[in-house]
Amino acid sequence: MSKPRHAKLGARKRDFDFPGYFRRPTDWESASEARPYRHHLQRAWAEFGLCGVLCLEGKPTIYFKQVPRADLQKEAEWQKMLWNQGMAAMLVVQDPTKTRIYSALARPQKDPIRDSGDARLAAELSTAAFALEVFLFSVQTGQFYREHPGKFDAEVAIDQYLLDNLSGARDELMDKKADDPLDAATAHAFLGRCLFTCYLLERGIIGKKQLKAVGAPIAKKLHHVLREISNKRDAITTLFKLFRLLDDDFNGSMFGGSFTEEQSSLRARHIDVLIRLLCGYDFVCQQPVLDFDFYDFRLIPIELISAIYEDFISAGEKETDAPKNQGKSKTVRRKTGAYYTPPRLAELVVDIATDGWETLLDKRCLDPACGSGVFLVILFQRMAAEWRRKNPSADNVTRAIELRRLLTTNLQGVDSDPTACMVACFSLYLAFLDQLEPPDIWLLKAALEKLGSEKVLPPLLEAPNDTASCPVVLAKNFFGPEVDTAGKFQLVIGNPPWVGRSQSSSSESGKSPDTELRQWLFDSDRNPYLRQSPKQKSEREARFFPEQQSAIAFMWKAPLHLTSDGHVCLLLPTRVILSNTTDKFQAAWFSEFTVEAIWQFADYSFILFPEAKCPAIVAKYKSAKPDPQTAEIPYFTPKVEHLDPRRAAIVVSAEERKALPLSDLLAAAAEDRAYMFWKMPFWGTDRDRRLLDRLRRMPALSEIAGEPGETDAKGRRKRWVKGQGFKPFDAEKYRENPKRYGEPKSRWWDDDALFLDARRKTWGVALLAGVDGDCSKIGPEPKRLHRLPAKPIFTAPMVLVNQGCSRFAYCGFDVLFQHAIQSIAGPRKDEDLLLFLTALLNTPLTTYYTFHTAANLGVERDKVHFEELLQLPFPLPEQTKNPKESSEIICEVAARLRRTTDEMLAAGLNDVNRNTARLEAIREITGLVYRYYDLTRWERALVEDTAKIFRPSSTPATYTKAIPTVAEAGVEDREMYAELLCQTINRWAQRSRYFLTPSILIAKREGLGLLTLTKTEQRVLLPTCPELHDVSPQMRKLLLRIAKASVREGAGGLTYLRGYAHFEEDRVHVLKPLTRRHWTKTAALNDADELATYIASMEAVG
Amino acid sequence: MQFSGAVKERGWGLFPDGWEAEVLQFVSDVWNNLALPKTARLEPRITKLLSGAIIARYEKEERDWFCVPESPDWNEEGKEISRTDIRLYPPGRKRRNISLILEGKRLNTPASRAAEYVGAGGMMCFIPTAKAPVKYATGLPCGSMLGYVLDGNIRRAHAAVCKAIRAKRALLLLAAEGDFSRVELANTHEFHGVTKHQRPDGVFLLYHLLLPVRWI
Repeated sequence: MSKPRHAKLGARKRDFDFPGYFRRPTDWESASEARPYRHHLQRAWAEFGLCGVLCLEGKPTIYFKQVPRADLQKEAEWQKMLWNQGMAAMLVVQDPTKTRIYSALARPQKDPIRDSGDARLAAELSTAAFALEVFLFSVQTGQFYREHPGKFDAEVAIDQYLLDNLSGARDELMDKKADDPLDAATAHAFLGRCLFTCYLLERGIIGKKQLKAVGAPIAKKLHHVLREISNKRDAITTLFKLFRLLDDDFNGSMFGGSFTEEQSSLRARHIDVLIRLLCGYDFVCQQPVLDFDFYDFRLIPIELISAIYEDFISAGEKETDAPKNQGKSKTVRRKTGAYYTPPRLAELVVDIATDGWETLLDKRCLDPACGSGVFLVILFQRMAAEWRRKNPSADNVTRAIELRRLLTTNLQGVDSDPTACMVACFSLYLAFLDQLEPPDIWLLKAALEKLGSEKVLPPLLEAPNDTASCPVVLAKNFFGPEVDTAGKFQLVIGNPPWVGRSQSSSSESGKSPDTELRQWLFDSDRNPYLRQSPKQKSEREARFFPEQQSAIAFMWKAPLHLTSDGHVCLLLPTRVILSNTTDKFQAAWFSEFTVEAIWQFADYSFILFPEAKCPAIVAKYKSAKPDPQTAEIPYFTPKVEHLDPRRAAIVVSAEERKALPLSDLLAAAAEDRAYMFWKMPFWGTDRDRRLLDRLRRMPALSEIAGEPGETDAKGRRKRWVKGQGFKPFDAEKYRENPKRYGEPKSRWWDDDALFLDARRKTWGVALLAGVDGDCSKIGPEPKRLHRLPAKPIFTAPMVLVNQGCSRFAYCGFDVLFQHAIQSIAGPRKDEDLLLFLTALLNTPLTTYYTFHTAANLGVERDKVHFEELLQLPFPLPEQTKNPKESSEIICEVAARLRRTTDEMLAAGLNDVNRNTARLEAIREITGLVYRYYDLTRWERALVEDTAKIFRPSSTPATYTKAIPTVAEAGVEDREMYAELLCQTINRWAQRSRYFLTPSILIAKREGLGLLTLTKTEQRVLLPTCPELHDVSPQMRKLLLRIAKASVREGAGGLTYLRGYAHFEEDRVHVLKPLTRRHWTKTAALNDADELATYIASMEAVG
Repeated sequence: MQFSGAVKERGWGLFPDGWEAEVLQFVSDVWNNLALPKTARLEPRITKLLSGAIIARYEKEERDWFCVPESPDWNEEGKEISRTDIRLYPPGRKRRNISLILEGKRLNTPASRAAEYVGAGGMMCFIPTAKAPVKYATGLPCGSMLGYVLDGNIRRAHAAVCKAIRAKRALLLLAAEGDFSRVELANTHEFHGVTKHQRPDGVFLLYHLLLPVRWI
């Protein structure tokens, strides 16, 4: 009998060799990038019965399973397991006739899939038609996810679902409308113990023996046990008997506490809530899941449980009075500075921290703000995996004892919050138990009992009778003296609290929330960096504690705990570098420590931390002074690419890896613009940097616009005045602090004066007067004012700017406005120049400049500060290369804007017509403004790309929103890219006898394009770039050849797909994803630069 | 971008002399099209005019080179310790540690000034001494001297420079066979050359472009 012919997935190595595709567990041992996930891979392999795994960037992404025949009920169960594990994005199940691709980001259901509309089933196709290589390429490029919208929804992933429902259950346990509300501590302790018990029971660590011992019904899930007991009072008694037994068998740190008190406060209603939670009841939508074991604690990664538990507990502890079912209290979180660190992001931080290390077994690691201990858990998992790999023949007891030793000697967590420490213990215990098979645990127990009185789980919070050594989880302040006894570490890693001035000033006491932190910072006996700093208090504050940002204090102190070869890796708020108040800190800190990497996650801000106020960076550094002349700072700026729908699955393309000279940072900090040093290369390419440098050398708008009475460098009064509108008097604020708030001021205008309301949506480009205009009479209110700016800022001619600097209008008549609007006003003779300024502000050039230089825009909020806008280059005609032509341009632009005003008035109240007139004017004016600034063809291309593609793509809120950079490039985009690239290189190589001509191959299903530049000796007229759509095996072979070549060259993983060039005799193939970002003019120019530089450095071979 | 594969011609035949040669060729071309006003007789002024012309030319050609006139270097305290005349970076500022520093000196003013060309403010800026570390191009493999030949007599300037180099060969850490030798570049002349220096951090190539001044 012949074997089935569907053996594609399990094909032998010589038949199929795709980078990152593993056929057996031993395969990933030799792939160092996949080793960190070894534990999860092993577990999945065994539980699912897999025949293959694809890892992208080392991370498990697709599981493959072969079955002799379809069993859709079983497959529904596997999809549930996949969802519970939350690791891979897909499961491919192949039978001889059909191949079904299941999504991990779809909510599990009891019933099998019925049709293709089921969200769990991403795709189904015949096995004969399933081309594995095409599928793998399409997943790598993200094309598969784009082709199956709605099948991969991060919002229904296990972490979000479990977190929402834990919060819902907690809210019901504490419901004050009920007769028997639990207090927060009791509710959290109860849920924590129950989660831990679920884990022990479902993994088979405890079972029949223990349940029997406490008189409980025998079952494999805790809610089954509880349901079997008809009287809920009895259920409570049984549950606490079980807790006591576990306390006795395992350890007091998890199951300690006042059982009696907790037990006495529990009622039957609380058990009902628990049962509903464990059954998968949706507390948000109030939807039951009937007779279905939703969660599978065998598979839910323990780092996920601990991270979720921390988030849930830290959000809940301090918001007991918050209204129920209204989501998490953002205010509470911001005060504590604590946010949920998604495990995948934590994995990435650990990857960054341990990059280049051969082994973890000889490393001691400290988390100075450990929270749930997610970093410690991941490190322990990796240590344990390495130990097991290196000791494959160790017996069970030796393994258990060694892992226990690693846990207690190599890891150290510190947190001032005792609850966080309790969670960290919980997490580490789970991590430890997760490494052992159930029989090992009981063998360990027996062995430990023989040795002495120790229990299976070592004491982590405190070591009894041991005051000399430091416990693994230290419930102390990192800035207190106790941490110093913990010794030195090779790694200090963590996510310190991000508490800044705004949070601390709003705290109840009005004082800084952490006095120990301040004491350490400003005590020269303890803070060694203080000794060489200036003596003035303000200088010291600016250097060590700008904006009272606690994360900065951690940045200073962490290196003191390092061994000489160690380094620090911290997850920090972007504000520590992207702020105009940290220049002095940056100058001092970056001169003190050698920075090994800065990862900027601002573009992922809303995806990683949807509720966070500030995006994150990761800083990796060591305690050694850098050479300011030669040192470079590796700067990684990943952008959302929709390559993977899983949150925090971050891919860095080659162009996002930059090396910034430290000397440039120090120079920028000396000029109080360090934020610009980080902002410009965030989205800006090398070409942008050149244009921005050129623009920055021009005189800025601030040189002629200043506060009333302000003078320039030569002592002359500035030509124009600028300022914010008036602010009405707030009697309540006055009563709170009359001295600070100040006395009310009287207004100088009458009731008929014109007033512009900033909220009015119609105004823009030119402010319209009259009945159909944008303004109205101000009337009698407000009578009293808090702030009354000088009259000239309300006097025409002027340019009006809204608060976020996103709307600009010229105003030819006097008008009043509140502080949400700012103006730049000048004398009548400057009317044309102010019209020109208005035009400039409305063109893509302003968008371009502010997007690349303003601290917040495209990072945190869509806001440009007025002071940042005033840094816009604004040379007067006489300061340009051709003053006569520049004056003519100004006149032309002014005339065009006046005509626009007339057109808008003629359009009446019709917003559409008014807007058309505005847009038409901006389009015409833009070309003139480019001429005024003498922008070359390629500089214009950069400006247009930023305004049309990059700016609207920045900081997307979700993967589902349309992102221009991620959309598929059109034929025109690709042709334009290829031709510009070739033209650019050919112009430079005009002394040579060769000439490059382009052609493109498109593999649509794989989501890849292959640009081939062929070298010919004849200079021919550049033809239109031919484009072929090719899905032939030859094309695929070529792609695979390049993929393998990239692995040999060390590019590996996804990186090569983001831009890879392979040279053959007379041609070079450039591999690119089909997404638009890679086919812009900006990309063409930068790729031409990079290719030309590489070619110029190529030596002849053979 | 990641690269793989091999080619049979240096610079794939498109840039057969490498990046440094491209720069020198470019500077030479720019110079050949530059006429100086009679008033520009001092070195800083000439360098400023040259760097302006370089920037204008590469912008016109849409090259992504980056030319920094009078680029300062700082020490650990942030104090300026030197200032190079012209520093040219290749495309891609990711590799900012690679640059070609050009140091300008006048020759034949009508005095020879070859001693100044090879002296402390000239070639010696690229060479460390027992008393002082290297001033320019630390860690870089090459640099370049620009000799502005004010009377246009390159032959005389070349002879004087070669003689001065030979006279100071020990101080200049000249390598064996490191004397002034011609570099082959299209559109340049026989007096463009290179010297090899055995610096403590490795062999250092110093290119020399002797540029005859054309007056307006």
